[in-house]
Amino acid sequence: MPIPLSIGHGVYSASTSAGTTTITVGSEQKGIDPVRLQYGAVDFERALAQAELERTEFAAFLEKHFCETSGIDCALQIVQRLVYGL
Amino acid sequence: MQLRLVPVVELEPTDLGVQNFVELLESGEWEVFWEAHLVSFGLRPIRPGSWFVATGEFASQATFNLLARVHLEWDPQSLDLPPELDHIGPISGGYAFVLGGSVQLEPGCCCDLSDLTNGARDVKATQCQFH
Repeated sequence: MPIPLSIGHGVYSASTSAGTTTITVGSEQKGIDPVRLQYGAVDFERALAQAELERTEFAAFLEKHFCETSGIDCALQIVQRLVYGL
Repeated sequence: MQLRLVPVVELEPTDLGVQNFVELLESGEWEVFWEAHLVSFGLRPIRPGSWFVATGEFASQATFNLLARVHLEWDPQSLDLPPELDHIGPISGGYAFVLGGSVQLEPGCCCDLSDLTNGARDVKATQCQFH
C-alpha cells in the first residue's frame, strides 16, 4: 500500500517492495494518469541521506551568514524555521 | 545512473525584477534570458528555464543577501534586524529528482525545504514493513 510521501510535492506517494522504491506522482487534474518512477531502494535511501546532508550544509551556510551579518543571537532559531519549518 | 534528491530553492522571476516572464516564454527567449539573469546573481537554475536553484549554489555573501531580500524582505546590509521569528516561514522549494544529471521531477507549488523529514521516515517505515 503506497503511503503519502511529502518531499516537497504533496501529491507523491512511495512504496518499497523487492528492493525497488516506486514513486507515484498523482495529478490534481481529472483524467491524467499518475506517473510512476522506480528506483533501487538502496539508491533511493542513499539519495535521501545525501539530500539531508546537503540540507544540513545549507542550514550551516545560512547560520554563518546570519551571525556574521547581523550579530543576532537567534540565528539558529531563524535557520531552523527557514530550513526545517520548526 | 545515480539518483539524487537535490534540495532546491524557488526563485520567482518577479522577485528578481523580471516582469515580462510570459513574453519571454512565448518568444522562446526565456531559457537564455533566465540563465544569464541568474548568473548575474552568482546562481544557476537546476535546468534551463527552471525557477529552482540548488541550495549548493548559495555559497557567497551576495547569494545570502539575495535570499534574505527575497524570502525575508530584509536587507542584511542595512542596520535593520531580521523579521521576528513569528513572521518567518520555511524557504519555498523542495527536492528535485535528478537521475544521471537529468532533472526528472521538480517540486510543486507551496512546497519547502522542511518537507524531507517526513519523506525519509515514511520510506524507511515502508521498507521495514516489507522486510
